[in-house]
Amino acid sequence: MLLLLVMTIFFALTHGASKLNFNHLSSSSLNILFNIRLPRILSALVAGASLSASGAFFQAALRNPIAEPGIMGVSSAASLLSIVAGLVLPGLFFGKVVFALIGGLISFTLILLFQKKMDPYQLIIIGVALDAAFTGIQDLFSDNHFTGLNLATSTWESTLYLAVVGTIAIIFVICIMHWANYLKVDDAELSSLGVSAAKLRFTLLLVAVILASITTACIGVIAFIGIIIPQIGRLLLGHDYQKIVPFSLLSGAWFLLFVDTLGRTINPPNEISANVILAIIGGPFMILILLRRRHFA
Amino acid sequence: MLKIENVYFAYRQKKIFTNLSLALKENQITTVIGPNGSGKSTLFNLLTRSVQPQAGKILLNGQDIWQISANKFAQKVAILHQQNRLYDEISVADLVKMGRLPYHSLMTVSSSVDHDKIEQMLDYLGISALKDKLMSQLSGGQQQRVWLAVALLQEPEYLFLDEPTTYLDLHFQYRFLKLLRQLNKQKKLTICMVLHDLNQTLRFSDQVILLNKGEIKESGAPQEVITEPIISKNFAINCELVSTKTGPFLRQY
Repeated sequence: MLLLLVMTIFFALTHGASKLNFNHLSSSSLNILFNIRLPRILSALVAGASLSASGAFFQAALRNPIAEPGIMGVSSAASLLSIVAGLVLPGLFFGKVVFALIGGLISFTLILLFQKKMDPYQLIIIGVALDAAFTGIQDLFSDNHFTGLNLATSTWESTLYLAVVGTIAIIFVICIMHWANYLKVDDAELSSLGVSAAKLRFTLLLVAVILASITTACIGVIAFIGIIIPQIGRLLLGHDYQKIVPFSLLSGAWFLLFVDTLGRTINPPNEISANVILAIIGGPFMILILLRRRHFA
Repeated sequence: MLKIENVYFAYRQKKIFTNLSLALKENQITTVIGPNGSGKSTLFNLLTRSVQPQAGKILLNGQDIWQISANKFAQKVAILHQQNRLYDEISVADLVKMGRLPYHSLMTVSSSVDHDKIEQMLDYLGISALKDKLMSQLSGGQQQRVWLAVALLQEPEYLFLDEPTTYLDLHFQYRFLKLLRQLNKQKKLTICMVLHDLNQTLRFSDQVILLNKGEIKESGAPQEVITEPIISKNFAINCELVSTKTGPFLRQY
């Protein structure tokens, strides 16, 4: 996996609209390398890891195999608020990050409120509804250039925010990933073991929402990777979140970079955004998971 | 010592207990019986700290159970729920590990000391061979044993069981109740369970509490409580107690 990661990083550095050769680097190609490709690659790596781990935590906390921040409306809420930040505080990137976090937390609060009253599958419908509402409001601003956020718009500033906050959150993810296994058990049973299920759920979701919000503030909404990667981890390694989460971090980083690089090298200089490719794979993938896991519904 | 003192409990305006007091006898198997709606489940929930009384106290070794932290309580009292829902695949090994949760901070993953305890418990319950299996691959009786292992790994003084035989076939019902008796003798475990089957109650309890309409109508040794007049009055049935080679048997007609 690591080897694959290194190879993809190398390929992504050298390929694209203009091919680069490490032996003959001109100042313009150095500029492309350091100011365009490197931040984009780093962003893709951290974002892929963050979104995949976030997805795994959503699935554990909401006890649903198809939950993830994109579908549950967290990313769209974060995106909406970061656009608002762009209007209220233009030019201030920090404002966008904070507003995106607020947006994510609004969704988080709504999910927690509904979670108490609904079964895991009803909750997904609520998530889809929230997502539609936030995306709808966002479409009101669709002429605004702030909506054009994606990996291609990565700058060193956005990449640094993402790298710092993302890395801290990912360390936290590794420290608490065994909690995800505990939530396989009913709340009443956990309570008789002296553990508060609500507390576990709250913390896992909070970390997942922070990861998704910061990613959205930096590179826009990317859905489905949070389902695809953890579910592949499940297929390959079994049901232990202590294996699924590390797998998701590594493979998620690789996969988003791979999809992004594929999108920009297939037909240069035109680009297919990672989000479009992921949606095309993600939709059918979701149906497959639902068919496989019917007996736990 | 676990006891209830003058407890009042109402659920949505409906009074369930107005002034309930009882003490569980230590190192004994106490069975709570009673018709549907008599308050058995509520009594069970009160004793296991699942619901809080509106008045009165529930004391564990003299201390109000609501003053004890959740994990300290879990070190003393374990519960085997009637139905244990799982939301995902989990291996037997991963599940039984959770029995040690009351002894650890949530940040730690189980230590090597616990590893030995877990092995011994699986051995004791005869389920070592199932360790690497998924729960979904086991029979109802095997699953019940795994959940029992989780409860016993809490090293409790009290074990509560809510209709533990409901989902087991006759063979496993009998085996399971015998295992409870063995645990009670060997591990000095105080056991309290809710049972529907009065013949199982007769055979496997030291004490019986008969609950009806939120009151303790009778309590004492099984032969004192499960008698023709008491049972026919409280359960509104016709019945007779027949003596058999293996002891008294309650027959409904």
